[in-house]
Amino acid sequence: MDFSELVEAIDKDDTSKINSMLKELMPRLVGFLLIHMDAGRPDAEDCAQETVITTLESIRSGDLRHTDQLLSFMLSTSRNIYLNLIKKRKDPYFNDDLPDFGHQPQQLLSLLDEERKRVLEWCIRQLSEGYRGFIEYWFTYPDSDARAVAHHFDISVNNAWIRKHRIIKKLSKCCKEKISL
Amino acid sequence: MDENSRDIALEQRIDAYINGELSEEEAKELWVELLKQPENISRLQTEIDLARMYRQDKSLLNRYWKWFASAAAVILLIISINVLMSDHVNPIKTWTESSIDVVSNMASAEVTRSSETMLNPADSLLNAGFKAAVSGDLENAGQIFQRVADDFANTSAASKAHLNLGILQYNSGDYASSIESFNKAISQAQGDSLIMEQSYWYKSNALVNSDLFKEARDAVEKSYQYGRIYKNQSLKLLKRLDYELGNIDYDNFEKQMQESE
Repeated sequence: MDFSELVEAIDKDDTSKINSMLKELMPRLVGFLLIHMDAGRPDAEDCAQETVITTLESIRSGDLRHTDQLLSFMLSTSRNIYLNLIKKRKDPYFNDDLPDFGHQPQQLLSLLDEERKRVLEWCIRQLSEGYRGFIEYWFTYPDSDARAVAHHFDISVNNAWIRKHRIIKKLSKCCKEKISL
Repeated sequence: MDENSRDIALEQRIDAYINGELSEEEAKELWVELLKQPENISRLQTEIDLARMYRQDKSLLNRYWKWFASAAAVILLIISINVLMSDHVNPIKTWTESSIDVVSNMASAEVTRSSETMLNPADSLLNAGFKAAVSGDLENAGQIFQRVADDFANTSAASKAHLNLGILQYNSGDYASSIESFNKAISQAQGDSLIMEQSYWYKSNALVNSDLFKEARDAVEKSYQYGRIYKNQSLKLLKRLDYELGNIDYDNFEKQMQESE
């Protein structure tokens, strides 16, 4: 998706193009809120929708013109909308004192639900023995860096990163297929 | 930059993000890139799921390691006693829990994630403490439970918090503090029979481990009376304590223990 086309479509009031681009954008913002903010899915969907409306108003008023500026605005806006939602619920123990944007995925702090875990385990079993051993080693020793992993498997550091990238890609595809079944 | 180099660069940034090594500005820049490439958001999600899964399994393994070690110690003890002291019964502490499994025994708010919006502050905090305990951050878990106990005194949430504190203290070998916590859980349980049973059972275990057998007998008798989850274990410990206190004679003891199976 070329986001400059969104600005152009809004300038031209091309409703069909605007709707189709926003439809593509929504799940990505939901992903951000789930992962970075550890939001629940219904909250993430509500906040993403509200973000899109706020963004449209800002584009129309001429405040946003560049793609990266637009995306950065959407990330900050969705984060703020989510934090305000939580505050409105009067949950005094929610950790909303993250300075600015936050630097780590908050979702890491929550437990992986059983269904996703089962799917992931199934997908790991479908990997070749070599790939399975590699990814198990990488995540079982999260403190070891890529050089240590490369040394363990007697491969170059670049190869270790490439191998990890390929395995994650395979697992991601497998999980997506299994979960959508 | 060729495709491999791009993949490596992305993998390294994602890895640094998950490990908390990016600055806030860098994290935001990464997300700007991810919004342009939705397939990479799915990959990031998979990578976070993997990190969570292996971390959870590791804590599970640690728990089982302790269980296996305890079981092995008990078996060794039983064999030693049978071989060397065949006219003696097993030491009383083998009838108590060597450590209490956090995941299956700690009390948390009775809601599912989907009904998160209904959580009140005390429940929300209880869940945060439970989450910290399960993740192995026991110090933080203890502080959170203490906060619930202080801020929501005389509520069911405070009772659960005291129970959870007692479990953490028991597992660290601080039996005196755990007995105090279980007492507070009992006094604030508001008629919750499950909390009462759990608290009396663990209190009796802590008292046995403190060599306070008479008090332990009173506590285990209560947990036997509530008898839903720990009825069988409570009966065994009750009889073993009766033996220890001289309330039953040795000749009948093994038979009585078998009858309570």
